[in-house]
Amino acid sequence: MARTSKAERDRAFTAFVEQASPSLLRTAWLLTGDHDAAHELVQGALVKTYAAWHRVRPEDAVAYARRVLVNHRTDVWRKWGRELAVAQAPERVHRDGDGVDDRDHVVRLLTLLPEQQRKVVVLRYYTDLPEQVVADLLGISLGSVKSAASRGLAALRANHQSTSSEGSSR
Amino acid sequence: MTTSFEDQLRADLRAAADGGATTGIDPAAVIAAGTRVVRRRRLAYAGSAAVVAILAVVGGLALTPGTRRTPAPPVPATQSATARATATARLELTSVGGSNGGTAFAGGTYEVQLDRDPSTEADLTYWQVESPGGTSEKVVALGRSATPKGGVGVTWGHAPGSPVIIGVAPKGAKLLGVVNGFPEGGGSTGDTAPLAGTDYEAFAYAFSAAKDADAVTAVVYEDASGAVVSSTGERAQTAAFPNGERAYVLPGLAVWGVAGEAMGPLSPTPDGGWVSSSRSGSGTDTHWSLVGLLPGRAADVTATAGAGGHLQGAPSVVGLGSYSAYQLSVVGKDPVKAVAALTWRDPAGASHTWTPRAR
Repeated sequence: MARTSKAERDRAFTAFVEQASPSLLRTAWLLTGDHDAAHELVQGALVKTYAAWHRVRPEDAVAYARRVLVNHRTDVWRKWGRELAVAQAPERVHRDGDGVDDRDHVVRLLTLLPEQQRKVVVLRYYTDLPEQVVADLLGISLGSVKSAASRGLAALRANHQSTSSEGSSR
Repeated sequence: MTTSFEDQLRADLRAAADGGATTGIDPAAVIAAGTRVVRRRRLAYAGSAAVVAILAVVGGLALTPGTRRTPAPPVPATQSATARATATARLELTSVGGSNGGTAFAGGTYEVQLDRDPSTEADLTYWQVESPGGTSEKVVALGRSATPKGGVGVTWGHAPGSPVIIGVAPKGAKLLGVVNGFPEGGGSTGDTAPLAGTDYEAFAYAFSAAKDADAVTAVVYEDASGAVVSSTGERAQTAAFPNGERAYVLPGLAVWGVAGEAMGPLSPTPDGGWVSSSRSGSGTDTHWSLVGLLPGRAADVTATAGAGGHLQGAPSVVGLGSYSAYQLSVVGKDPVKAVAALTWRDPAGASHTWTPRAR
């Protein structure tokens, strides 16, 4: 197989980033509910993808980057009651008249889900991946995907109805 | 009915996603960072070969000084070792902040290698292939320990002065946390990766201080079947809330936590306090899900809103072993200020009140 120069690889990777990063950013935003965290998550996933670029087939590049993105797990040490040592989220960007609150509502409900349920719901209902692909992507069983999707949907539905009824009673 | 909700969810997610991608990614910055990773990795692999050679000469199963070797828990009958020569997993750790607000651990790439020989006890080698912060390409062997012959357990290594523990857990394990005496400050970060072709999952956990890593006495994880278990072999009692979150308690380790979140918190049992299992939003519109544990079978659990926020419904309460667990949704910048008090009644009818402590 012919070897490509670094310049050629970088050109191909640049094209890949420009093509794939908007989609990855949207997925990361749904997973994190935080613009800065989403940006960092995608940046980190793309750096890992670049480091593995020589063995990633072009047709599999998006799937590879998405796998890295959804499996990157980090957490801060959250303290018992007296202190919640989580990173301060940036202030939300409000834009008048564009319905940003409605859009953020589903993201807020989503981030109330446990992490695995959140990932499964996003991969199943935003990226529309088949259950088996989600299972392979997350490294869990098909049954776990079905269970997480079912629980996640039930929790979203319950929370959605709860907030809807709160809103109508005001 | 279900389909319409799912369709609405798809539409809502697309609308939300379209509004969320507000900042772009600079390909040049990614390539620059990626190039540094590749460069360090090449140098590190050269060093890794030297480490392997040295270990081969030394032979045996002696531990590197300071490395912890942990007895494995009872082996489930359904799990068995898979014969394979070598499996390697790479783990990426991000930075960890210190209690003073600065960076205590700069992050780095670590590698776990499992050398398996079906005729002997399997060897496990940990080493760091990139130094924290990328300031050095020196390869640091973190240690070596043994996995149980013919079975799957949990073991980890820790080098003197290092804030990182690295080890293996059964395949499919989802780490929930570690037990290390609950230090007062600082953070932690973790990563897991499968050791392909084996029954193991590699993990790494970094803390803000080496003493926190040295103090680790147990690892808690959710196994492939969804059960919460510890490296001591204890199986947790669990209870689910209506929102899908699961609280668990491990009386033998005197800890409890919330499953479902990767690397979720562990806290001492029980004084009525809570842990934050999830949050979203920002500023005064931050939505918190708080999970706490109450002693005994509690009744009439109620929360009172504080001046700094409001409650979303009443607490959900479930029995959890000899305790009661509650889940409370609040909105506010700081949950401690959003909740003024929590009250409940014990089985004897006595009323109790707990007031969240200020930071």
